[in-house]
Formats: sequence, C-alpha cells, structure tokens
Amino acid sequence: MRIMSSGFHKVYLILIKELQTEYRSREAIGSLLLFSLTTLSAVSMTIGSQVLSPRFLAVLFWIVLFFSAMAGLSRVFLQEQSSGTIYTLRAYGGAQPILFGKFLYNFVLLNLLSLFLLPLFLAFLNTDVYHLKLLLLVLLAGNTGMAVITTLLASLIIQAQSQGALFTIISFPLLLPVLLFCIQLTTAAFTPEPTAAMQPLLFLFVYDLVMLGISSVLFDYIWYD
Amino acid sequence: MEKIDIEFVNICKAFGPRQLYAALNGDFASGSCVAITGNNGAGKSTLLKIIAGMVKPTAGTIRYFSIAGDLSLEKFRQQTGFLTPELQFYDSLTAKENLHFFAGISGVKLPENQIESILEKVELSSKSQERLQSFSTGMRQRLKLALLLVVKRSVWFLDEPSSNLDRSGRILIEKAIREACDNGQTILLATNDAAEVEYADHVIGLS
Repeated sequence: MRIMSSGFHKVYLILIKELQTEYRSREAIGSLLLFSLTTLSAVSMTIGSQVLSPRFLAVLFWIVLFFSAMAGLSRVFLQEQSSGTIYTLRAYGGAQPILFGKFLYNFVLLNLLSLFLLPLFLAFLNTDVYHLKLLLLVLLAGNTGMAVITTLLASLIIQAQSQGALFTIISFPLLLPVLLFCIQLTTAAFTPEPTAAMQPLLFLFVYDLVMLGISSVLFDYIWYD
Repeated sequence: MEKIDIEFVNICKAFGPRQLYAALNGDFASGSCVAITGNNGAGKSTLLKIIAGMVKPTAGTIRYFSIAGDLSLEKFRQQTGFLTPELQFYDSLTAKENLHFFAGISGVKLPENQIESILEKVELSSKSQERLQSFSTGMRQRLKLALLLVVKRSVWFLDEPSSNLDRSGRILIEKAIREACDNGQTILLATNDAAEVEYADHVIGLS
C-alpha cells in the first residue's frame, strides 16, 4: 500500500535526515562548539577579573554566537553540493519542504549552541542574569532570525566561488537588525532595573516572520534556477 | 499513472561560445521509449536535463501535456524519475534509510515490507542495512533503480543506465524498462550502448 506523504511529513523527514547525518559525522556541531569555546576562552582570558557593563557583555555574547554560527550554518547546502546529493534532492524533493527542513535543522543547531554557550559565558565572564525569561525569548527570536537568513543565503552561494567569505559578507547586512535588537534586549536581561523590552522583542519576531516569508517566496526560484 | 506527452520546439543550448544545438524539435508521446544517441560532448545528457526542466535552454520552449491539458513544469517535475550519473545518495545512511528518505520527500510513504521487496528485486536486500560508504558504483546504480521503482513516476530520464553494472544488473535494467513501457510510462534514454538503444522504439541522433 502506498500512502502519499504531506508537506509537514516531508519537512520532518528532511530534519531527521539532517540530524541523523550530523550525528554520524559530527561535522557542523563539532566546528560550532569548538569555535565558540575557543572564542569564549580567548575573551575570558583577556578580560580576566574585570567587571564589564551589561551592554559590553551583551555585545560579546552575540559576537561569539554570531561568528560561531557563521562557522557551521552554511553547511546545510554546501555539503549537499560537495557530495552531489543536491541533484537528487532537486530531482525528488519539493523546494518548500527542503527550505523549512533545513531551516529547522539550523534552528536546532543554533539552540544547541546557545544552550552550550550561555552557561559557559555566564560562568567565565561572571555575569548575572536578572531577567531569564526575557533572555530565553531573545535567544529564541535571535536564533530564529539567524537560522532563516543563513539557510536562505547558504542556498544562494552554492554555485559561487569563495563560498565561506561570501556567506559571511552577504549575511552581515541582513543579520545586522537581528544582532542590534538582540544586543539591546540582552543588555536589558543583564540589567537589574526593569526595562521596556516588549516593543523591540515584538519587532524581532516580526522581522523573523518577514524573513521567513521572503525566504519562502524566493526559494522556489533559487532552488530550480 | 498519469499519461504525459512532451513537445519541444527550437531548443538551443550554448555554453559560452560552444553551441550544442541550434534548433532542436521533437515530441514524445506517452508510453514511448526514445533513445538519444551521439558522440561524447554532443549534448545527450544536457538534452535530458533540458526536457526534465533541470537545465534551462538558451532558447526554445518545452511543453508538457496530460489528458487534462497543459501541465506546468512544477506538476511535470512531480512525475519524473531519474537514473543518471549525477544522482547521489547519502554515504552516512544505509541503503534502506536512503530509499525511505528520498521516497518520502518525493511524496511516497512506503511500508517496510515494500521497501524490502524492492531492494530484493534489485538484489540489494542483503546489503540493506549497510551504509553506502561501502557500496560499489554498481551497487549504487542498483539503488538508483530501486528508487526509480519506488517512486513510480510517469516519465523516466535514464542516462547510460547500464553503466557500471554487471550482467545481472543489465538484465534488471532491461526488465525494468520493458515493464515501464508496458505500463505506458515514457522513457527518455541517453546512451551510446547498442544494447540499450535496442530498447527504444525511436532514436534521436545528435551530431
């Protein structure tokens, strides 16, 4: 008996395949974690026992997260290109399930990276979190934005030369609003006084949704042309 | 299975200054088996990709028709199956996992026993739990055939399907093509192998 699978099931299959191949190769997660650990150690050793302002700590946290993400997130399509499986994906898979499956995988990777990085960052840099819920929401919104943008751009650069450099360069302007709002909100989470964070947080989620919509519209053209 | 006719008009393809075809015309009726032959570099594989909608021609149009009328490229893509050298599987997954995955994303959810029986048909059942890292080129070719049989598409694009296969593998390909023709599936075959050309009821020669 043959059963037709739905779009959600296809997205689920792609996410599971990504996690399965990553679990067996440990390429992306390895480079993400090692990069973040190295950067964090360097920052922590340089700063020593100095007390930093919440804004400076927030900037450092997002810089470490951003550059670690750049080291691993472009692999979602580059690996398919180098192994030749991208042709099989194009031949048998629809564009939208592939986009959303890959986006979810990058989102999972980023959240794993954040879960690994955040406690270490707080411990190494002796940082207090006064508004944990806000910090978790910022991480959720920031990681969503980074995952959407990096997934779309990773699909754009697969035909280009110097893919790594190009990926970071073209990601930066699109990720800048996400980073600026994340830094602003993370500063609020590291500050004891209550601050009005609702508006920038809402903006961040709306920006994520807009980027997700744009990616969905553009991806059909990128994938088949 | 949907019956699909294909028509292409004034197809031109150039890679920089190198012109492959100036104005290629033709049509394939549903259920036909067409062989495309020609020397190396004549553009056999490129023509297959152009007709499949995987590569854009420099000029010209391709139209697809079903019984209901004109078929969009998007709908046509859902009816195409491939056995070409470009098709690759995931080395870190087993044969069965690869088959499950690609069948699933193509829209087909198959029960375990059906996957097993297809793998048995292509003589890979004893290797179904092995990762593809250990597979030879011939075994990978058999897995491509298994995927083609699993997805059950109306139009098959085959590019030298018997390459790297032993005698029993070649017999499998021949049997699959004959069965597909009997089922009314359209087959486009790029080849220089005389034995493969014999499967076709029509031959296009590219110079």
